[in-house]
Amino acid sequence: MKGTILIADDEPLARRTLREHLRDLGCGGEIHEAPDGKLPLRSQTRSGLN
Amino acid sequence: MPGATGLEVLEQLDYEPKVILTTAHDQYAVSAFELGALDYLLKPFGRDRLERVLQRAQAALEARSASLLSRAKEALQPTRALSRVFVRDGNRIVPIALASIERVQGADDYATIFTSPKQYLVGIRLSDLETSLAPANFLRIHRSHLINLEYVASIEPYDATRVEVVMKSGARIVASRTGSKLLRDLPL
Repeated sequence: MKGTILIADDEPLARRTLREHLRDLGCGGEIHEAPDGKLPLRSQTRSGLN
Repeated sequence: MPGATGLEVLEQLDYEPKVILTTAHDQYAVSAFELGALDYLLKPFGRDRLERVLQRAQAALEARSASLLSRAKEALQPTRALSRVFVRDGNRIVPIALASIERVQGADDYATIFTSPKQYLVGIRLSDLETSLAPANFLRIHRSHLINLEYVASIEPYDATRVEVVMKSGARIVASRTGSKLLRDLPL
């Protein structure tokens, strides 16, 4: 899958596992992580995600 | 999640990413779909399930790209050139051929269309008229003036940076600096 991905989850293990799955499944774009619900709401985050 | 729950994030987003919710709770699925989530993964989920969801996301992204491309092409299609505008003349509405318009002078939300020999006050902004009239050989030479180049009698120096346009009717209009540059750059 192409494009930018943001993983928002407060569990570091869940984020890391999901990131590994995404890489294994061929996601070649940028993968960012957010430990809370604030980052996805910031306007700067929209770049690449919409 | 601290800061906002996944559903609150969905509710407050002011852009449109493709969102896949992953959660251990199944009671929020309906709300998630109502808020536009693409899919809902109940933890624990396997790699196969994740792969299927990613395929859906990829298809949705490609569909959106195709739609954007189609809309962009539509927007770039040349619009049909106007040949006349309709204006109020007393209690009648009459057509004015663009070729008969010498110039248009704007003031706020209104514009005065000068033809020979009449003038018409219309409730339209000069910038809106400019878009429609530009293909018909009209040029914006000042914030308040749009002229039909077919009616220009001469262009004369006004000061170090500006020129004055003399129309065939005798009207004289001092062009802005930007307008003066456009006039100087006109092909001979």
